[in-house]
Amino acid sequence: MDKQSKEIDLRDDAVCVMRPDEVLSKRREIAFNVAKGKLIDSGGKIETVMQTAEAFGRGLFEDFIKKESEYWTMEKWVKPVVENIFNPMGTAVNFTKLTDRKLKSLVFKWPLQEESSEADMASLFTYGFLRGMFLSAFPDGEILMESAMTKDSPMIEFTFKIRATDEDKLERERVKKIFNIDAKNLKNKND
Amino acid sequence: MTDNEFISTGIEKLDKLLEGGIPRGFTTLILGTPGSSIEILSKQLATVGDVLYFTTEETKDEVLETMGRFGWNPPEINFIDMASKYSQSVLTGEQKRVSIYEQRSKLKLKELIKIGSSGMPPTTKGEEDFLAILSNKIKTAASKKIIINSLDFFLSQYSQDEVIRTIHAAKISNLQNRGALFIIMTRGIHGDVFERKMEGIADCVLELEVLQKGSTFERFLSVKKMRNYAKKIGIARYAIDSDGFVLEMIERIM
Repeated sequence: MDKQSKEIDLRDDAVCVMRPDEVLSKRREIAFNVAKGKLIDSGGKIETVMQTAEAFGRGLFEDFIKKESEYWTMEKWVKPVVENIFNPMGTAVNFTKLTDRKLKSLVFKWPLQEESSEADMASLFTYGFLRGMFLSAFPDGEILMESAMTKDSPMIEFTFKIRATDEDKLERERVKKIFNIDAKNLKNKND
Repeated sequence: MTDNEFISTGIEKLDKLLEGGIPRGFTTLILGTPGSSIEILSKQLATVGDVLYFTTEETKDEVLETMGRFGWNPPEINFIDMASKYSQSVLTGEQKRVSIYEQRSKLKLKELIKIGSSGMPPTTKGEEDFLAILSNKIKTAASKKIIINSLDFFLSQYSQDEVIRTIHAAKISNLQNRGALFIIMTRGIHGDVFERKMEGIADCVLELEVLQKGSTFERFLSVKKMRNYAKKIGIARYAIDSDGFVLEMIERIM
C-alpha cells in the first residue's frame, strides 16, 4: 500500500452490509440477465455485456447518486455509492484512498457472484456497471481491474482514477479481451 | 385519415393492428428484452420505405446478412454504421499507442530528455461524438423512416440527460419531416425513471414480451401507447418464422 494511503472516513471505516433491498437487487438481477441474453443473442460479443453493464451503472448513478452533489470528489462519490448502491444490494466493499485522485476498492461479498455460476460474466458485469457509475461523475477517469472473482471467491479489486492516462484508457478493451465467455455454453446453462 | 398519413411498419399485420401503420411525425419507442427477437423486428421495419438506419451493435454487413437470411431485399437503406465506427475508434486508439511505443523505443536517451517526457508523450484525443452524429444525421435526414438500433449504446456512453435532450431534438426534427422515428431500447437496464421518461416522450410505445409457460415460451407484442388513438391499444401474440415476424392473434384492449 502507498505510504500516503489512508482509509476513507466512512462510518468509522467499517463496511456496513444491510439486508439486500429487494427492488435494487431485482434491478441488478434483471440487468445481469439482460446482459447474458444480449451476449447469447449477439453470438458472444463481449462488447454487448460491457455496454449493458455500463448503461445499468449510468442508470443507477442517475437515480441514486447524482442528486448528492454537483461537484464531484472521490469522497463525495464513494459515500452515496456505498450507502445507496452497495449496501442495499448486499455488497461488501472496502475503499482505500491512495491519493486525492486515486482510490482502490476490494469487493469481498457480492450476491451476484453467489447467485451466478458464471464468475467471468459476473466480473465483467461488475467492472462495466462500476465504470458506468464512475464515469458519470468523472468523465475523464477510468477504472483498472486488478483481480477478478472466481466461482468460489467474490474478491475483486479495482483502482479508480479521476484522471486516466492514455494507457489507462485502454483498460476497457484489455478487460474485454481477458474474458472469453462461450455464448453457446451460457445458453445451454440458462435453458 | 388517408393511407398517406400513415407510414407502413413493413409488417402487414402490425400495420393492421395499428390500423394503417404509424401516423406521420410519430416517434415510436420499441422496448424489448433479449430473446424477444427485437433485433429482428428492427431490421424488418427497415424493409419498407426510404430508411435511415443507425446500427450500433452490429455492422452494416451483419445487418444485411441477417436481412438476406430472411429473404428481405430492401430497396433503400442509408446506414449509419456506428458499430464499425466505434470498433475503428477503439482500434485506432490502440494503434496510436503501439506506434508511440515503437517510436519511443527508437529514440535515444538524449532525445527522450529533449522531448521532456517523463511518462507517455502526449497524444491527441479525437474520439467520435456518437450522440452528436446521431443528432446531426437526424436533423439533416431526407429519409422518412429513421431507425435507431439501439439507444442502449448511447446510454452506455452518455448521461441519461444528454440522451434525453438528443431524443427530444430528434423527435422535433421527425415531426417537422413528417416521418417515422423508431427507437429501440432494452427493457430493464436503464431504470424505471428513465423508461417512464422515454415512454412520455414517445408518441407510440410498442413492447415485446416473452413469457415462459411450462417448457414453452409465448411472445407478445403490445401497443402500450398511441397518442390520440386510444383505440389502437392492443396486444398480439407473435412468432418468428422464415419470413420474420408473424403476428398471430390480435386482441384490442380498448
